[in-house]
Amino acid sequence: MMGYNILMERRSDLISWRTDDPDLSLVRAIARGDARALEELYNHQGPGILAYLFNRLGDRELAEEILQDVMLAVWQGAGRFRGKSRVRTWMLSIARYKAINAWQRSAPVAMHFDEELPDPAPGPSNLATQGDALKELSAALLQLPDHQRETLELVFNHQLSCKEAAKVMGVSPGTVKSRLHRAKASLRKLLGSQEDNHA
Amino acid sequence: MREHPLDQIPFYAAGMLSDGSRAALEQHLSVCPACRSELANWEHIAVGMISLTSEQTLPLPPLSPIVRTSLRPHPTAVQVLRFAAHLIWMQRMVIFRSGIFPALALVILMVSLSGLLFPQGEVLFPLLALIPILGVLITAMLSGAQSDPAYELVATTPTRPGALIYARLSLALATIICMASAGSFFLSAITLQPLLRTISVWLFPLLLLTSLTTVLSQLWSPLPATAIALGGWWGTMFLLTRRSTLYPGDPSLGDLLAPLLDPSSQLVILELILALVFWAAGWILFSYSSYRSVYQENGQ
Repeated sequence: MMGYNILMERRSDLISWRTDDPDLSLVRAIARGDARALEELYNHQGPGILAYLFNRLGDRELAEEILQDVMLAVWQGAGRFRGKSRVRTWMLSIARYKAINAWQRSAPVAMHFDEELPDPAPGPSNLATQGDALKELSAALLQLPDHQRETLELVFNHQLSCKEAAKVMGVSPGTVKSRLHRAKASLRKLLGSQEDNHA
Repeated sequence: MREHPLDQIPFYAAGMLSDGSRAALEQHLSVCPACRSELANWEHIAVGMISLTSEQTLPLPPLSPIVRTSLRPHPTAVQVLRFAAHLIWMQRMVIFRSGIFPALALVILMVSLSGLLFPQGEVLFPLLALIPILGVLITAMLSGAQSDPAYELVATTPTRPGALIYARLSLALATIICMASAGSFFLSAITLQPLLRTISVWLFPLLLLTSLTTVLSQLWSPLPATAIALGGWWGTMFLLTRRSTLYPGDPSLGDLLAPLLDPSSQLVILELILALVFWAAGWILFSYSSYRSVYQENGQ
């Protein structure tokens, strides 16, 4: 199963990226005015940030626009980045901040920080390859409140630690943990009710 | 404080535990079936999340042309200095318009020559009294960012008004200093006064009053700034010369003004320190307003 393989690969890669954030040298180069380093960082981190923005905003064009704003902010702020957090955490924090600003400027766009997400589900061909259990799980994940799904996304998709996820969302580490446990409880309830429906 | 295994399991499933915590948790998992079951649940959720919001589902667009045009390389110190010198030199068209240059030259020549009309000990008075005032007037004239129509063009250029004001002031002050130095050299040669003394008489008050006028012009406007700078200068002179010199036996003006005429006196050193403080304050004010405008533009 693709998702399971990715999970196992990430766990085995843990030591290498925790000790040396490869993006840090790119940010240092950006601070010196290296435009190619920004391009490289964009290619490396852009897809993840774009996915995060799209999942929050539900609007692909707006997500792409904010991604460009994030890269501009990275260009301007690279000199002030002290490397106390990972580059991905820093960029996700900027992205979240920019997304909230964009949402405040344009009220008609739905903001999915606390509401239900529109269906960003993978295409039919992708779904067809997944088992029934995974399909049910995907459906249940889409029904979670957004702050719970955002927490799951930051931990499992973006591989942030508890403290890093807390920093991005502007909450305490305790809140991150309680959101995770609530998300699991909600999923159990949702999957239980789905099983009941099947029965 | 050690974390509860149940709090660590989701981060273990995500591959996000430190080596120490990871080893301890793995040891616990080997003896705790409940936590193994919990781990299986979290792994299931992790796989669901990875499958659901796979990063490959959205193709990455190219960096936008707007971002690309903003990627000017950060300049080196030499480039900054070269740009500053160029900016200052470009201001000659503004500074020397309408015959300001010959007028300045004429005034400074007359000030220097008029020193010869005074007795030997008081030859420096015209320089002390008039050169700093000239500096204040020029500074006020060039600091009118709100009132001077020339600054309207600034909105269409990447140069900020603060940088432009400082460039113009630098050129104007450099011109005054060069001309007054030439006058001082001339006076020193004729009257045999030490050159350092002749120059320090007007240089330190000039720096002090122009820096003060620049800061105050930013806070309010050039007119009150000029009034305060000149008022302060007049007050200092008044305090130093309030003892009458009308009667025989009274101290001469040269004796009374000695604290301003001697380059090693405390008052002259104070002038220099205050001038540095005011210039620094001016730069901070300009930098702050530039920083604020940049970040407001970027919505931060």
